[in-house]
Amino acid sequence: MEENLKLDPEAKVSPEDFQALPKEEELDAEKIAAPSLTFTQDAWRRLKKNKGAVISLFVIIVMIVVAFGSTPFINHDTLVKSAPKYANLPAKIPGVDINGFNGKLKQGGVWVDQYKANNIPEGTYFVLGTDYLGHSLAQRIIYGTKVSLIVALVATFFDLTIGVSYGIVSGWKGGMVDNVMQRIIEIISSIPSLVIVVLMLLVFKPGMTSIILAIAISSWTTMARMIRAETLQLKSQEYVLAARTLGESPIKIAMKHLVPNLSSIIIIQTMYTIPSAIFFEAFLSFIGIGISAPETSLGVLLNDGQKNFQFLPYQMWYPAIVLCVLMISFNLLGDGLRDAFDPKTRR
Amino acid sequence: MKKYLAKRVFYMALTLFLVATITFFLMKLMPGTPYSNQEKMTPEQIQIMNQQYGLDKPVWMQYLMYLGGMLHGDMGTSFQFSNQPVSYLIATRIGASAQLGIQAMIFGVFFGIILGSIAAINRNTWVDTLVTVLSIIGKSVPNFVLAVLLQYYIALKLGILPIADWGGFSYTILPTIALGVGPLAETARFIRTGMVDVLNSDYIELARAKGLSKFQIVYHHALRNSLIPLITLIGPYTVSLMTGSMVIENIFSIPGIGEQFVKSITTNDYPTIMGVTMLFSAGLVAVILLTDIIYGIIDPRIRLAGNED
Repeated sequence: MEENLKLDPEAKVSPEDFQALPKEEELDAEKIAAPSLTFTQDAWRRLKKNKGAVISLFVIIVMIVVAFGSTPFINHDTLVKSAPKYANLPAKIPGVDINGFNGKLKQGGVWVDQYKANNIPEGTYFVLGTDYLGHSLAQRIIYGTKVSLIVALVATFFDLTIGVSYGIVSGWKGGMVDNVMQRIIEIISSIPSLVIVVLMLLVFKPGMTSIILAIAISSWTTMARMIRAETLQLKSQEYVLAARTLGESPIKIAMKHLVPNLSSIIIIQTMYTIPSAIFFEAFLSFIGIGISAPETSLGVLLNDGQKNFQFLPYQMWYPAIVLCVLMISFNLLGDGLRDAFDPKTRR
Repeated sequence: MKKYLAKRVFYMALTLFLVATITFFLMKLMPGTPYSNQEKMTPEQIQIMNQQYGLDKPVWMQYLMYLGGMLHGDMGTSFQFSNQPVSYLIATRIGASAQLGIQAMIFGVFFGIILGSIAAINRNTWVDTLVTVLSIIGKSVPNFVLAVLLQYYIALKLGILPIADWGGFSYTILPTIALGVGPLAETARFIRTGMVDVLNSDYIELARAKGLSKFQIVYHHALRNSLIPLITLIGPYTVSLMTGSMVIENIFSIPGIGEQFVKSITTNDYPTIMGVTMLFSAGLVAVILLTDIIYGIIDPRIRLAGNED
């Protein structure tokens, strides 16, 4: 401050030194606002700054495109056809001559060309090798990724439908209804979800149906709890009161006023549900009570690969890497979205 | 406090009762037969077997008998595993599982606290980034993948630790690590966030102004206050350890409950499945109640009776 006050006594300021601005510029000079951003734009702007989240988003999009785009080429029928001739071949990528990717496998410390040893015709390539039945591992991994993504999608669906509506109803109604609904959640969430899955598996046969049902029963409770807590706060906001006074129906209030304001919680919580659902499917298939052969999922591949890990490590490594990348991407994107939508938690 | 406790215990009992009921009737719905070679048996043999297991009585009577037995800790007789009582099967196997679970919990929480504090103190430096990256990886890599890798590279290749089986402490190291990494990553993230919050508070500023050493500030003031919310994570950890034990015990062939559970699922051994299901549910419910009580005692700001939100 003091610096500014020290005026040069010699300075002579005459009126000519000042010039009036044209009318429009005068207004502009007063303006200090940045372009206004909507909530989503603002979150997107913050998300873009987070390198990890952007890369993860990109990886997830690529995985979704590859997994679902492959449907016309890789389906159940092509995957169950076994070709014993091609069994247990390591990866061979055309034009690549690095041990491990050129059809050679380390056996007793020496790299042996498995393609030559098994008289596989020249020009046959398996980018990620084959499994013990001669299936292309790359195809099975893509199919398995699709299964994981479908499980993620299903979990998201139940989170968004059951979880959100249950939470809103519970929070909105309050009183006795809320009390009963919360006790129900309490009971559901104190049964380990593993137990629910096992019970489902026993009644229905192991497979997608039981996994999806188990997710439907157990996955939405956290979402419902968080939505309820937030709804309780939103309920007493002026704009909700205004809508009520104007006679808007509760359903309309929920859709128009509550859901948009709950969107950040919904998005963040969904991003936490997805990796746990993916893990759950892989876990169940790995111990052999989820999806089982001849169906394919990343868990099944890991289980197959684990048996031969000592001799054919690639059969475990590739699905493991894909699964880990998928999980890491969803976790990083989830963290990024949390920071983007909820700047308060950002440090 | 007493009223609250009574209410909680009532809900606990209700939950367990529901689980028991649902489990029982789902088992009855199950297709298939518990006898692995029924087609070879004569109707008389089946009759005798049914009598032996009480399967000849009407369903509601079986249900009452089952509930009554459950109250006495009698969970029936295993259909497989040489006809041992389920309670005996569980009793002989619970030790290994419990030891593994507790070790994994201690390992995860202890190292998680250390890593999380280090990250918080060195906030926004490369140390922080490293811990964050490690905890994301720890959270994302499924424990069974980690278990297989540890088993192969540490036990088989390096030959430092036993590959599998259950003998002494050295046998528990690898499974403990595999089980504990998930809680470790979670704890590290949690402690970091909490501690960054606490380190910005006024009383830390005061402690610094008093001239306390960095260690004293972190240990006496920051850590203690960021530890409290950690108690709420014990419940979720218990779940993840129970789930994890099924696969880890299988990979390392540890004679525990989890391994038993998987085996009984694949062999349709209903009484054992029901027994372990009840055990898992009871364990989780008890842990949740216990953590709520401890939380209320440690942090008086949380009113136990306060349920009006």
